[in-house]
Amino acid sequence: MQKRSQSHPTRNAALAVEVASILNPTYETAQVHDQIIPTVRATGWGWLPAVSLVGACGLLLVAVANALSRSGVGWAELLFWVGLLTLVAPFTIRLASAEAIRRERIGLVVLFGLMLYLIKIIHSPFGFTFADELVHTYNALGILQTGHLFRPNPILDVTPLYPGLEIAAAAIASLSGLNAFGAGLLIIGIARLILALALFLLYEQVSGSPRAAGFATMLYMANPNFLYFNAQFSYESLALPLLTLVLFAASRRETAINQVHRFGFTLATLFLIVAVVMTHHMSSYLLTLFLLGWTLAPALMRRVILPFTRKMISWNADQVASRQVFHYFAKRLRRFVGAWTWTNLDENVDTYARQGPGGLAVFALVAVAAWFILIASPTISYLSPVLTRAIVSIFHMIAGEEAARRLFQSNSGYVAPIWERMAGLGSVLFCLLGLPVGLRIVWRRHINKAIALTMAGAAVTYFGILGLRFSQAAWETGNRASEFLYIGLAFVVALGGIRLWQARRRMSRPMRMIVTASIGIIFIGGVIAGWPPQLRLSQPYRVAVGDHFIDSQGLAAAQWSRVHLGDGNIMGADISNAELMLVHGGQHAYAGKWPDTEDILATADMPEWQIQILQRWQIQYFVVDRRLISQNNMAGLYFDWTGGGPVSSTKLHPADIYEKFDKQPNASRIFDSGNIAIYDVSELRNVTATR
Amino acid sequence: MSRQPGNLVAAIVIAAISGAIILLVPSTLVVRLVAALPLLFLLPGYAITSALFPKRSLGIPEQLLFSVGISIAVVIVGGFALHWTPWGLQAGSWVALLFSVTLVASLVADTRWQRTAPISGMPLNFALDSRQGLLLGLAALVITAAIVLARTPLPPQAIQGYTQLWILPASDKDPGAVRVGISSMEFTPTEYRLQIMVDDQVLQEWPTLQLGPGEDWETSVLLPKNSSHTRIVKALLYRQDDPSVVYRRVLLRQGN
Repeated sequence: MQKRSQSHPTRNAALAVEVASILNPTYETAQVHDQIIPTVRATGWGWLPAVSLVGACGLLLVAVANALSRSGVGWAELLFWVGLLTLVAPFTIRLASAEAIRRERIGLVVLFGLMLYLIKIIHSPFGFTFADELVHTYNALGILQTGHLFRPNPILDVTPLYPGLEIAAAAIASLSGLNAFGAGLLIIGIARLILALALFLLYEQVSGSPRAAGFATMLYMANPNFLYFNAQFSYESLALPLLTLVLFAASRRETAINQVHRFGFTLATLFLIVAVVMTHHMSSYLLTLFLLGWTLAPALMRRVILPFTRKMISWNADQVASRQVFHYFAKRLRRFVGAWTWTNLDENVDTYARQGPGGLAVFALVAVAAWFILIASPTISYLSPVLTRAIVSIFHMIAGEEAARRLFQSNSGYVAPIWERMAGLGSVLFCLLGLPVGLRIVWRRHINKAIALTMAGAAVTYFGILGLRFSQAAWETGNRASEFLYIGLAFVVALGGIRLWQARRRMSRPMRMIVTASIGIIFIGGVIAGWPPQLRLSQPYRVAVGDHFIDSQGLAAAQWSRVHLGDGNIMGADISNAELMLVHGGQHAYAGKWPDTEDILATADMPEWQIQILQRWQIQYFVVDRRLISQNNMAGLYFDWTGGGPVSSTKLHPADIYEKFDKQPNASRIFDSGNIAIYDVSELRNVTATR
Repeated sequence: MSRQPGNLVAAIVIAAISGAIILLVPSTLVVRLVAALPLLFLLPGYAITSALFPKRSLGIPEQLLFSVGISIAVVIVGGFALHWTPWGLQAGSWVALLFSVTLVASLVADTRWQRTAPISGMPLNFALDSRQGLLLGLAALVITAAIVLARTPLPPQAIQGYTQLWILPASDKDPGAVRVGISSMEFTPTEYRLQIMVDDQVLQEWPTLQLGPGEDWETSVLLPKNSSHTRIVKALLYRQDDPSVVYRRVLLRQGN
């Protein structure tokens, strides 16, 4: 061991830094690194270049897999997983190891976050194709065209009321000349940079360890929504990094070195809170909730949790000592929480009293309320049905009135193969296994930090809301909450993971392999749980035939409408075509339930209420897509697979439904591309209903 | 330790030059992008961070994080403010706003710099040795290859091409003519037959139209004079390899 240490001066120095950083958990950690170890500074990037190269090779494999997927090659997905693991494994091993110094860890987490973002870009390299991207692109285009905010969005009317993302994208496009797609990719890339850096610094601030911080940041990136959902051009993708930055700024404020600094952090935090409030509703609500929790955590700890724990142990000693089984558990519990707690807790009561971002929480609450009242009051009609349905569904499920949702089975009937189900469950299981170890470390080392307790609360809550995944109406709410709660979960599990990594020497090597494999499974399970399986890889959106590029039918129909019908016509369509018409056609396209174009497109007759909708909303054109998949705003954007035969095997609506406008005496079928027809229904508004 | 005021002067100068490039070189994308990025995502935040935390008292990662994060917040809040002005959100108003913020915050930072006691900062050291540089260069090359591969449209396999057929009035003022167009999005050259019918009578026919992938064809058709009733103008498209089946059909009702 001695010999080994001598041959690794960098490792020893890094370990010294690790110890120093634990003892001194503030930003001065950075100075410790740079001042203690000149040898480390000389090779300060450590393995980062090599790890980057291996990660880049993983990324190339992912790109090849996506290319093969666009060509319909069946084993492309296997290559995708191999590429993803090739990317994840070296970063995991290096970030978990003790050797890397702080600078290298920061470089690794930033590079890792950006490389994962490149997977999303490789998935959709020609244009935005994810669920909400086209909706937000329309808002950004509105800002560019009008020079003003809040242009109504016919598909998702709440989105223009939170214009932070679109303002930033429009600013890039306006100043640089990039198109909305390029500007959108750029702003989300910058958001990724902020998220990786803010998470690292936040975790480091709380844990006092760059190593735990790097590991926790990487674990956070394994959350089910990180790879794709939070990489899309959507308001949450910007709000979440800003939220994380607020948390870091607020935590730094707690340990500011003087009043000047504290004032600086206070102003920065307030300013960033305003930006979050203007960018995304749920993020601003959850940020406020987190700040309130952080403020109240010490009181909860002092008045409820610690007295309760004490009482449990003394109760055991005084009253049930004779019952061996209770005695055994109480002894274990006492060892778990540690004697340190009792002797030192009272000394920390004053520390608790001084802590807490109460003022910031109140400011956030006021800002959220002001924005809601003055600008974004329709948010309630957007969120309340979703949350109400979720709550009702939970009650129905508990009462046995509603069948539980089947895990790993999509609405379209896709059932995940057994290995995917095992990986999905395994990812949860490994987090669950790391949780008690991490909680123990929080309890023993960070009990005097209110933010650590709040993060521990978030970690426990994550497992609480996993039950929502069994509910038909609530699973999406539960899924969406995961990227917020994972901020706490990643922290706690990382503390546990690092503890296991440095387990007893005899066990350390196998334990390291287990931890590395666990991270891989957590990653794979997250991707499986977070994204529809049929869209995990690129689908054919644009193909090359000779010198020509040919786009999918919906995209080409939208482009046709812009050229031949002009901009700004009012249209009704299914959701996928409506989104394409919004952005690529420049049309004012409605979809969904308000107005009820969904039912107009799903029925064979044309009753009076449908005519009234055409009249009331002044609809001029209807886009009819005969494919059932067009009702899916992501899967409906692509070419259809033929399965090797001459024609597409996609499922269609019944003919009497997709040809209903042919039977209307005043409708003209002005466009036909096979699956998609466009009808001029402007004259239909003047007639009475027909069957 | 006296780097900060110099940096702030540099920030102001870069902001001014960036603004000038954006406003005066409107057609060059790369140049404008290089000018726009620091103005949008670095300089305002850097100046504000320097004003809030004088004497380089933050570590480099923190300085970078706050510079970028606060710059985005400035863009968001500033965009909201610009919305209420008569100029709105356009290139000129953005440049004015971002330059003003950078300038004012830099002046405040300079003032606070004079008043605050110094705090030892961290040295800047981003040096790479040649081996590390080579590895990073290779990584950049591999990433570029991955993106180029992703951005390259591939030949179609196991998917189906299609053809667009459309019909529209020749103009709003002239109901006596229609425009008909075909766009072939098939993956091989395709032969068509096109028939134009008015009130179920064949008006005109093109027995053979051959279009390659991505090729368009368009024509105007004069309709017979008849203003007494609504006419139904149909265009029927057949493929020569399956001549009995209507491949695409469109229809226009021409009112009187």
